[in-house]
Amino acid sequence: MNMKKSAICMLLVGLLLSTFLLIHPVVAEEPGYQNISVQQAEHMIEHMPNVVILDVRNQSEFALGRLFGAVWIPLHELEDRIDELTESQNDTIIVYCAAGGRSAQASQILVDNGFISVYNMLGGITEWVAAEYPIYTTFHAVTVDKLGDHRIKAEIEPLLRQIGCTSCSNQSQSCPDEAGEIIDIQSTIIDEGEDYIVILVTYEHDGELYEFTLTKNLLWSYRHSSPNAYKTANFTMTEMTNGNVSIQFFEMKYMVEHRDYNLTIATSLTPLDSETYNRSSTIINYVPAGKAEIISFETVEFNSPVTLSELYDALANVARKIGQGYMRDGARTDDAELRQLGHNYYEMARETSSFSRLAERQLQQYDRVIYNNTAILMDECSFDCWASGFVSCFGPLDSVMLGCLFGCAVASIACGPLWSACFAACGTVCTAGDIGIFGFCAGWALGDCCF
Amino acid sequence: MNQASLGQKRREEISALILVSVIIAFVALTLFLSPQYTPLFLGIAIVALGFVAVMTLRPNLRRRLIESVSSHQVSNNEQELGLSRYRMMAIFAIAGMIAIFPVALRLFPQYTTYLVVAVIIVNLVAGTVLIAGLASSASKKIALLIVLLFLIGLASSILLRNFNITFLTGLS
Repeated sequence: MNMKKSAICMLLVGLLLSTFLLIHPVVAEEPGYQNISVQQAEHMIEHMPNVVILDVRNQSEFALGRLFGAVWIPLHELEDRIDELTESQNDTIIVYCAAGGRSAQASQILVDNGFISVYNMLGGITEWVAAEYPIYTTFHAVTVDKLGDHRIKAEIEPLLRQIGCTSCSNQSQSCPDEAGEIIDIQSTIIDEGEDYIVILVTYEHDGELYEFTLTKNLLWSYRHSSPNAYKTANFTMTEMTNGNVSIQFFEMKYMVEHRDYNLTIATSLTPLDSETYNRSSTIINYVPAGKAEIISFETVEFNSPVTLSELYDALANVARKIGQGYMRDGARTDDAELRQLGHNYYEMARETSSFSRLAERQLQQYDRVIYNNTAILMDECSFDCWASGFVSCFGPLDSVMLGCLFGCAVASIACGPLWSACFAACGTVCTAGDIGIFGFCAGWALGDCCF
Repeated sequence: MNQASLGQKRREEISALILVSVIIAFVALTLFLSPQYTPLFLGIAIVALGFVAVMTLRPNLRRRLIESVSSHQVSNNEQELGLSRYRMMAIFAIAGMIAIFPVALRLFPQYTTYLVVAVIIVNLVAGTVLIAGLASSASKKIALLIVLLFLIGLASSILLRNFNITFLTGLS
């Protein structure tokens, strides 16, 4: 009897204890948001369904880089645009900014508006980037080291990591726009020939009138026309003369007007002596025709001297590597725009590589060593392109096939001792479906990359 | 049933058991990594269990199913010639690939290219063995159906792509 009473008492105590433990967090926890580390945020994003990631920074910060899938509502607009989040009222919301200040305010606004599961990511995107978690960015800083003939080592980092977020870490501070002084420059052609042009440039600065002469000599030119593209290249030497001071520099401009895109490669070269260049600065700009333009920006710094043709070859390799990165991220996140950007970089790589060969063959006299190189970057049917397209198609459908096999395993229980025979018959149907899907995705990726 | 066929049956059962263990393990891993597939797998499990329940409640249907499966198995065993003897192995290879691929892709995205190459090799080799095996056995129609499915898939995707038609999320 005593045993029975003791057991009932133990049960009651256990029930009371478990009820208290269940209620305790609700009672003890103050109504509000929770602060979480970037590691906790990453774990939640990866493993929890229906997580909304809210970015409350300003537009320029958001454009520079953000967490994949982030919804952007700047802090100062949050209260007015709160209804955009009402569908996610019961979902988990992770709020972040640059360093964690603005997101704390935003989290409180969300809680005040009835959101029940709000998490403030401490340290913001600065900490996220420092932890080397992936971010959606089309802005990168690239460092290139020459390893040998046609071999380079390119380190690609998000630009956000390079510049940090300190300038915009204050809660309401905006990134300053660089408003340069507008100078009225006037150009007058004073002499012109088949291979040269002389221009007089005048401008006013601080009330004083300045003028200098620009003499441009065409040293090499190239024209190529095909049904799909028209390509031109000019290599000029420019001499800027102001009184007794004269500065000389070279310019290379390669333009491709393709049916699907326009590409410009512009390089400015400062000579050191008659055999070498001191500095080069290149801009490669790719503009797809009739497609949504995505602002993409890559700065490239070279740690090793290279020749002019090697410079273009290295930049082609960098563009290819960046394209691969965009394709991989696009496939991983099912982002068609990123995949398109990857295609653009492949095209850029192909054109730059072909121009490198052209410069090597036809411009030997000026294909000299350049000591300091910087570039800004803004493909063809390759296997990487095809593989990424294939994965984005086959990945989700393959999960359906796994479901098919799983269903077969369960349904074959009905066959009892003949379970393995039933599973084999049912599995044949799944594998047949898989081969069909394989064909579909192979063709889809082929169409995506090659036609 | 002689000793050899008993041995073969035992081997098949053990292989099937191993494959099912792999499938269940990878289903669990897939659901852990991609919880968005939970309703899909839950739905499939419910349908499959429903099928089992129907078969249990309707013994006649179950008997006919077992009879058709065993007669199919006997006719296949009698014609085990050439590549058809490797048919089960091909099914296991494709099934294993189906189970492993999505998880491997999530865990090792840096090896995407190699994974795709592996998928191509497994699908082409095992697919050819499976189709050839089925073609040389009593299941010629199934072999033809698989070839047709592959060709239709290939052709339709290229056509759809050319006309800029998008109907799957993430494809454009």
